[in-house]
Amino acid sequence: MHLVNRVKELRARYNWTQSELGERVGVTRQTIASIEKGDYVPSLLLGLQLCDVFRLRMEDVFELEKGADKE
Amino acid sequence: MKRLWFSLMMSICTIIAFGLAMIPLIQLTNGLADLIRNDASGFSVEIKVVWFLPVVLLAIIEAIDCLWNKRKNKSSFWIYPLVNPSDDERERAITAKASHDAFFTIWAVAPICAGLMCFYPLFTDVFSIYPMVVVLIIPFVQVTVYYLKIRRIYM
Repeated sequence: MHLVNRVKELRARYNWTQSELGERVGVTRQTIASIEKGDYVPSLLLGLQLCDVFRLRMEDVFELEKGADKE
Repeated sequence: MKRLWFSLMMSICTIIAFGLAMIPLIQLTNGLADLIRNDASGFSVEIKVVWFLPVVLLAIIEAIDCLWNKRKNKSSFWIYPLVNPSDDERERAITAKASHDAFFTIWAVAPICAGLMCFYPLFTDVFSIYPMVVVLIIPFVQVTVYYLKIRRIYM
């Protein structure tokens, strides 16, 4: 079970760079890159901040993928 | 990433320079030990200042770098040149994991170093700084593990 997200797709829709999105939610470019790649699962607070900047609900940005262990 | 490697190099150089600076102090202590053993009225020891030069040189480099990057450096002067990335939650998580791993490395390295100290009598005359080298292996391994772990932040 792991978390998949649409951050990359949504960021492209807004035409933001990783650095710009990072500035909006108060994290570094590397953190945004890690979230997009699925290497890092953001905290609830950061997840909600991302939803807030995209003006979407949590379930529209993040989705729990069952039965698919990443490693 | 450059900053990270610079910090690692400076940390390792600091450990080595500190070890070198101990050489004349060990020679001084050996002279004092001879004085006590032989019950002599006085003793003379030749201390070479050259062993202190690496520490002085590093102190100058670090002072310049510390003042030059004063705005960027958020960590304390006293832990310089170590870095403690904590700009966001991911960096804090990776730094915490690196600290945890470095701590557990000590758990393994310290007994090994204690074991290495058993061989000190073999090196007493030929390699008087042997205990210093063995003790400094501990921070050397700890710092190396810490930096290898926190480099994930910049990958």
